Amino acid sequence: MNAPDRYERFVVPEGTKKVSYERDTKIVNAASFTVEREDHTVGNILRMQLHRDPNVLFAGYKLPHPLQYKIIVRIHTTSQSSPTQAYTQAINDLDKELEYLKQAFEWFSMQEGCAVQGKEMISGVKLIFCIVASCR
Amino acid sequence: MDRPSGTSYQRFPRVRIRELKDDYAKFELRDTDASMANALRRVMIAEVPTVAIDLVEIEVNSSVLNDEFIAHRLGLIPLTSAAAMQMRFSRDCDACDGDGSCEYCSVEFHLSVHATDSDQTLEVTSNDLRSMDPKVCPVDQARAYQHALGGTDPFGANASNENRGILIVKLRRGQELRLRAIARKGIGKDHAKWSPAATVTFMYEPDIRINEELMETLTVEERISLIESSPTKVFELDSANQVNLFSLVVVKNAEAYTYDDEVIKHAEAIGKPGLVEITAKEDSFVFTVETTGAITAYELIMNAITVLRQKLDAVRLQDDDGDLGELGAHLGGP
Repeated sequence: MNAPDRYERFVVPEGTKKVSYERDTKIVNAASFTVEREDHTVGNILRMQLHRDPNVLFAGYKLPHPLQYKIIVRIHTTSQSSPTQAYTQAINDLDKELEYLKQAFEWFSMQEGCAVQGKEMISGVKLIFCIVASCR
Repeated sequence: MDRPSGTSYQRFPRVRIRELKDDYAKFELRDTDASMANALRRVMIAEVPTVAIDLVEIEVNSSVLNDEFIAHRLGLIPLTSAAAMQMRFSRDCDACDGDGSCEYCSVEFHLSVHATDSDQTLEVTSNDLRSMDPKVCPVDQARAYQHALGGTDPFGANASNENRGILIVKLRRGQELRLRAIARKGIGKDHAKWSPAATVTFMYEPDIRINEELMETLTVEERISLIESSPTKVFELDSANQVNLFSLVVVKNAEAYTYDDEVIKHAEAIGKPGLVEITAKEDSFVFTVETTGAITAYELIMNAITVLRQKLDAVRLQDDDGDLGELGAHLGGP
């Protein structure tokens, strides 16, 4: 009866920012990013990517409550960097990694995947799709 | 741009597709970590969009099942969703005034079955659904169509007449079911009926090392009991490869290992600790992907990557976010 709409889990309410940023009042180069309507999917890859950055002294995320659809990412960096910079860099790197991964899949299905598909008796339409997908 | 530490820490994952069928894929993913593998798995299950029946207007229902029961069953029928990535979500479609029933965000279905003068029970199946858009239809209808065109059955169901559709309800003589249904784009996070994944799993690739020197001290019986101590068939005796007339114990199928530690415990029990060492390669994963048929396994993987990139793009800091001065200074701005 009074159940919240299901889409509230992944649609950012109007007037709310997807990402908000708050600097730590006591520590320099430390900040918390509140990301609305995200969960472990983004939180964990972001955290692990931040750990690859040697300028990041601390990176962690939490899902404060299962019914509050947001995550809080906390970053502490050296003076060589800043939380915003590390955050942006992590997203850029992840994006590039995924782009590379996508190309790896396309390349593989072009080189050998189609041959694999052929053996698995897939109709010709699929082969054409596969080649088209690789050319894109 | 002056970026003090703007160096990239990007990884370059490697991929090897072992098997690719329409609704099944098995591939290796290397040179990345568990967070990425798990993010891909989570996205495949809950965030790759498909089309499913979402709104049902029942005109006549004299069947034994009530209206909402039938509506629920209709929702669970997988529909071909190759076009779902290009479709709009009804909630942010401006072509229709929020009622979600235009060509950009929805597909209409009709179903009308009347059990007339038959003594047998009439089965209403997904084959009775009539779609208004040829791109979107129940998956087994699409499969039958492809079969009729002379193509091989992509799902490997070899029995040619096995396409009986998905049962919705059974009708007795005189009973009737007539309805209009609207299928919409959605994601598994909203409702599991929109999930294109039947199973998506990944495992760490095991690295199994046998200490050959210690192995040589074992009798044939001891070797056989070691092989049999593993509940899955991980090891075997290689009779072609003999040292001092004893067959060597070799790894037959490393991936059959379920990280149960049974062989290691057995080795310790017979007083030979270190006989077998097994570690998980923490940057190598073996994925198994199975779809419901709504999209192909290859599409599921590619769409998952696209969706994850869109999600990452959405969580970027906007210009008006946070402390502009600091960000600007670091990006070399004024």
